[in-house]
Amino acid sequence: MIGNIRKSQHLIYWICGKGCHICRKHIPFLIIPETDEGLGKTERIIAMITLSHLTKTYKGKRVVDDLSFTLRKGTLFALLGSNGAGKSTTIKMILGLVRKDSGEMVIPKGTTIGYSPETPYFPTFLTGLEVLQYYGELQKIPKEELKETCGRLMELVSLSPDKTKIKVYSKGMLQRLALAQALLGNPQVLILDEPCAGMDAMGRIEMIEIIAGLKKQGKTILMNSHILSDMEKVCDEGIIMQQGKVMRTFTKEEIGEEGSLEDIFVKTIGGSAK
Amino acid sequence: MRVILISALRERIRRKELYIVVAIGIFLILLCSSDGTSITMNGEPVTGFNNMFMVMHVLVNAIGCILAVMLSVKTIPNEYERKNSHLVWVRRISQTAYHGGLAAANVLASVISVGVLYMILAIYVMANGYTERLFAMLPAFCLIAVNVSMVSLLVSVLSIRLPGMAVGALGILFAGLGIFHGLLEIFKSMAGGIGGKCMSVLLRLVPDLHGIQKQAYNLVIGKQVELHLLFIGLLAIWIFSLGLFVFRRKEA
Repeated sequence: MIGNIRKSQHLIYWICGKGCHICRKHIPFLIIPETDEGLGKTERIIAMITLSHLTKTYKGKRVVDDLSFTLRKGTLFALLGSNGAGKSTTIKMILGLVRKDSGEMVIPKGTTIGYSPETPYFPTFLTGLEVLQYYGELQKIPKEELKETCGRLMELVSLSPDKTKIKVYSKGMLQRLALAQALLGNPQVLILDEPCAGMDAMGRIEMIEIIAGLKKQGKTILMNSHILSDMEKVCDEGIIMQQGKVMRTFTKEEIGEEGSLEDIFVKTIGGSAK
Repeated sequence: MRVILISALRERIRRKELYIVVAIGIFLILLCSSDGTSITMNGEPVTGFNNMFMVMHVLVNAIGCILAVMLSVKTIPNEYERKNSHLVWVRRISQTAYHGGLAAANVLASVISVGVLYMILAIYVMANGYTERLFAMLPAFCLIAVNVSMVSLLVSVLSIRLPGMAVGALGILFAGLGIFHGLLEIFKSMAGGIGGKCMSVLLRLVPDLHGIQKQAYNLVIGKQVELHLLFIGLLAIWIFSLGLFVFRRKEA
């Protein structure tokens, strides 16, 4: 079966602690822990996005340095790090908004990706519903389907499909609308860049609930956030970055073992938890 | 592309600068048409409908070209600055379709705004009792629209890669050389040496916006029209539109 999969179509990885069996590349945190069925048992993982030794330099400064990770189907992967760690650049490279200098990026053909930016801008004279219709039309979603989808998505993110213009939207409402437009076309992978940025406590709770719900529905999510407590509630695994490098990988189980994500973060990056 | 065009056009026509320049244009046109005006040409006062109409026609063309620069210079850079481009690029919309939609919106907004100015001219024509000339004003407006489209498209295409200031300066230079093409032709024949040669090259590169405007005027007053200038204008539009395929952004 492995022999039938071409190198450029790494949809399915067979992992047993050494890395990818097809390209023989070592992807560190994909080492599968010992299962009840015993050590050495192989497990099938569907990789939605695989980054391998990705590098990006801006004006002589290496902002992403030898970055490797795999986003597994149905999981929420956390990208953590201080400002300037290279999280947003990584996201932009995955989306094709920024060119990588070197390394490999494998996204299976036909994978659909939705993206919610950190600072969303929408034309201020439009209503939320019109924004969704605009992006839906760009995606060539059939008119009838789009009407139904837009209404459903507005409801999902708790926005009223009324005549309220974007110019009176709060930061939290804009973030929720950004999430709704990312969900247009029902993408398999969601990339969320700081989805809770600038939101109040209630807004953040609601947003995290929505994200948890999406994960439950089977969406694969790559999320970047500074709010560790929020991330801890929903993530399955992730990496901590500093100056473009992966300082540490972690799983949900490790968070439980080591106390909290904040503890892991502080231990890795340094500084005071308080 | 249609979706991008409509959205960008809606945004364009909401710009305050557009209304300010159009209002100034209308004011200037009305000023020219008032009885108390004393415009002179070669020391002789400009009187009579045809002469006054010619002055106003030149004015509409000039204001239209400046408006085209103003409306087009920031559209594409703004999209990238606001990172609106991110949400378009991730939807796998090609750069040609994206930039094409935005450039088409610029051209349409410019043509609509010059159309408003041309309407004032039409009112002036009607007020002076030359209603039979209104029919000729429609194709004449199309000629002016070619001028405005040329300027708008060039500025839009250049703004894909060049910084705003440079694009604005090049746009004004292009419009200026085009509007004063006739006058500069006279200077060129007067100037010799390297200066004359440079001017000759520049005038060859820039289409004769004044000439096209003059043909539009001739069309309204019933004089013979030289169509080759229009073809040069249309050819320039085609060449500029190729820039949409050539100029690309590496990153959003």
